[in-house]
Amino acid sequence: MLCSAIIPTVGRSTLSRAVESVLQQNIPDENFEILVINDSGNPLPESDWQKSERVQIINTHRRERSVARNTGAASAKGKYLHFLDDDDWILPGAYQHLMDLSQSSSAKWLYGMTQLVDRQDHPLIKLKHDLHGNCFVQTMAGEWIPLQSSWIDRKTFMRIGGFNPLLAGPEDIDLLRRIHLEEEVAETQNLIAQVIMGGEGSRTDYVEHPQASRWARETILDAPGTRVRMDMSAVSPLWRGRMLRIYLTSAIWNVQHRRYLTAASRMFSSVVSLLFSGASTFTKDFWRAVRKPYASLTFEKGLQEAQKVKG
Amino acid sequence: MNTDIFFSYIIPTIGRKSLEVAIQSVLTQDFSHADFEVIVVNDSGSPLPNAAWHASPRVQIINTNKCERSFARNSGAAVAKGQYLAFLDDDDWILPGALEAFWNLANRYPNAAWLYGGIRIVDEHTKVLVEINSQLSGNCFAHIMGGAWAPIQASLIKSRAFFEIGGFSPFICGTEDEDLCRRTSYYGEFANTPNVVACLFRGQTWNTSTNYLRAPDDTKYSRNLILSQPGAFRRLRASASSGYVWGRILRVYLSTISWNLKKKRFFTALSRLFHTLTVFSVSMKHILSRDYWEGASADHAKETLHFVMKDYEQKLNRTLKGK
Repeated sequence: MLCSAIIPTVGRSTLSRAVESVLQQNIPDENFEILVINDSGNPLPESDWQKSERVQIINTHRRERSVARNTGAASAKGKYLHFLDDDDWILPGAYQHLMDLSQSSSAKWLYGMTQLVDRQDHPLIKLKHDLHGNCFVQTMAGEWIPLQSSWIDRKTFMRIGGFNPLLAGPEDIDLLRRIHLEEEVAETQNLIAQVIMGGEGSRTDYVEHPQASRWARETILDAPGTRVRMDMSAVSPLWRGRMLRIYLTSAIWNVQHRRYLTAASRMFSSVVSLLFSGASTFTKDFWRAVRKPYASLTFEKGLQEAQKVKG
Repeated sequence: MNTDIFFSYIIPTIGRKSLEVAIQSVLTQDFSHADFEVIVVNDSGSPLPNAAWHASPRVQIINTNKCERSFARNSGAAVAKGQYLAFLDDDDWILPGALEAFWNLANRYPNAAWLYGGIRIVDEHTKVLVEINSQLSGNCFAHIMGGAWAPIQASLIKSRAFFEIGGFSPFICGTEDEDLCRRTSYYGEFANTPNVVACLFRGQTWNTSTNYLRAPDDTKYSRNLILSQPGAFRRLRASASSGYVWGRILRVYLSTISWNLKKKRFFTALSRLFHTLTVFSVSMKHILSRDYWEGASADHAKETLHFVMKDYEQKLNRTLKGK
């Protein structure tokens, strides 16, 4: 089996749309399955899709989304995992595009473009990432590929330990970073998923978000091989500057949290990173990247295009 | 009778025949104070053979697809409804009266995160080799970090505590239950019953799918991660009650220094060195006691399987490696 779609649900009415969008994919039936993780604590209302042989329901007992997703992953049979939320959906032909990509690429993270929409389903911006191969520094700096538009190799997912259940909210980006630390990504230039921004009844705790996200990033910076991997993916002056910024901000954060020895170790990495940057340090781009707080390039590009269309 | 589910017994299986014994040991408990359930996590990749327990309304099966045991156990926990979670393997079983003993303990210590009792080790002729109960209660972080054993098969974990510490770590294979115990002792309190509640089989025909070669490194990784948590040192200090335990703590810090140096994490090693010196200076008054040096020099803590059955385990390990 090629792909397991894992859809955790808190019982939102949009679930049927999400499941149907997968069921209607035009790849052979035996190539995919759908695991609906019902985390609502109540039975799901009866729908047509429950009759499908491709669908399996697992009832979890009101846990964090990461726990529900990991449970789905443990039961999945597909070579790839596709995590969808119950208020998002994928476009016709999406699986065909990802299947084609899987035949031409051995990357462990396959993805395509994402259309962000608001709650009334009005299109907001289109995310086109242009990330290929080793793009670890990019994701560490804050680039983000939505899970809804991605197929993740199941074995890799299990090896790196799945979602961190202690992170509610930034668990997506944490997973992305931990996979990119070891593995490559490949992109298809097709639209895969529609994702709602700020869904209703979202259980994501956005107040805890930045702190938890920082802790998660610190853990990754502690992992062996992080600096070398970042070094290899930072090929332009801009990303060299970003890499330096990651270490500098981390050093400051660690001083604020009284982790002085860790802060010293980050300063050490900053110096090494600066020395390895060589000629890049003479460019404007480099120092602009060091100074400027991060804004996602993909987001900026998407916004510009959306404004062009409006204009 | 209370209809809320109180205990959830989670039994991951790789399809061993002994699974039935494990399940029946829970189902046949004489216990009527509250409801309980059994969640069988079938990780064997094929359907389980038909057995009487399939018909029990208390049993639920979920199928996982040959993943690590921690993933299987976490999946079982995600499905469980009980206030307390218990984890058995498919070759262990609990003893009659276990649920009753746990029920009494849970009511006496409603705030404890980890409840446990004694464990019995038997050979293939069900001859009792040894019974072990380390009898720790309250804050026993230092004891557990020093290697004291609260066997998962003889334990209950409060469901809330389990999820707040993030469940079993999928990075640790084989000794993930000891890691969970350490993290629970950092998080909350323990309570102990003198009753022997569970049984482990360690006969010559015992086999395991666990890769114990990874265990020593996993243990150091697990301890190192916990020592990095905020407030870990303060909690160690609060729970170190005797010279022996101080000796164990000293040993833990010394071994993490060398581990961090080996992993080229020099700054962390330096920080551990600071703590080692602090440990040494606060435990100065024990420095002349024999217990202290016994704790600092022993490979394994007292009242663990390794310590009590050293010769037996060595022999068994040799036979298992020979296979």
